[in-house]
Amino acid sequence: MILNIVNKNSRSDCFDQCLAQLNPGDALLLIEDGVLAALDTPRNHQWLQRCPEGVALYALREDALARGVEPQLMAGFQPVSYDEFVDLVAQFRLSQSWY
Amino acid sequence: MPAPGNQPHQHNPAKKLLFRLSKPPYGRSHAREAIDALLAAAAFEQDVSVLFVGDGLYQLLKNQQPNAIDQKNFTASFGLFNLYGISRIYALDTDLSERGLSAEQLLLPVTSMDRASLTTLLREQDQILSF
Repeated sequence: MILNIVNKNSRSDCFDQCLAQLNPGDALLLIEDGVLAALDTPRNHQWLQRCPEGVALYALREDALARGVEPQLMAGFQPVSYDEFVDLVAQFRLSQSWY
Repeated sequence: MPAPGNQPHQHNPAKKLLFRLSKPPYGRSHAREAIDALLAAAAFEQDVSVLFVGDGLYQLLKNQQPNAIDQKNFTASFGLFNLYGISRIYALDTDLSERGLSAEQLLLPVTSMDRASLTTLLREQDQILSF
């Protein structure tokens, strides 16, 4: 199972490539501009429909706070702190960055 | 830490490293730096696999002439893969077909695989390095 870390919004090649490679049991952590893909918008619900069931969804809280969007995160997304980011990296045997 | 030099050389077991190359050449420095990194890893006897993803496949096109934009042809380094024992080179079949690419257009022999095989390959690795 792989922790997938994405730092771009949903309208990007790397986001599409990541989405296509997600499997149940994987996790998706959105950081930097990636947190914009976690906002509760019609467009983001579209990509979420392509995301397999059983993928844990996280967004880096600090990056959401910095952009003023922390209250708009979709319900399925768990905000995580930097410390929890480190915990996630330790918890998964493999991490993969998409940028 | 024991002082280096006084101890017999210890061989750590090779790690399985997959280098994931997803950027087209020349627009940014990722492609060139990835080759430097993976050759270094192979020189230290790590178990290197190379995966070309998406537009990263354009790194493999023959007949690149980057001197036209005053850049070096980093693909000359692909010629070192054999010397460094790097033979596991992969791409997704869909990434190839979406770009109309066939094996004879590419500088290296690429093993084409489907999405499920790629998932298996990724999970076998100790580390995935993205460039």
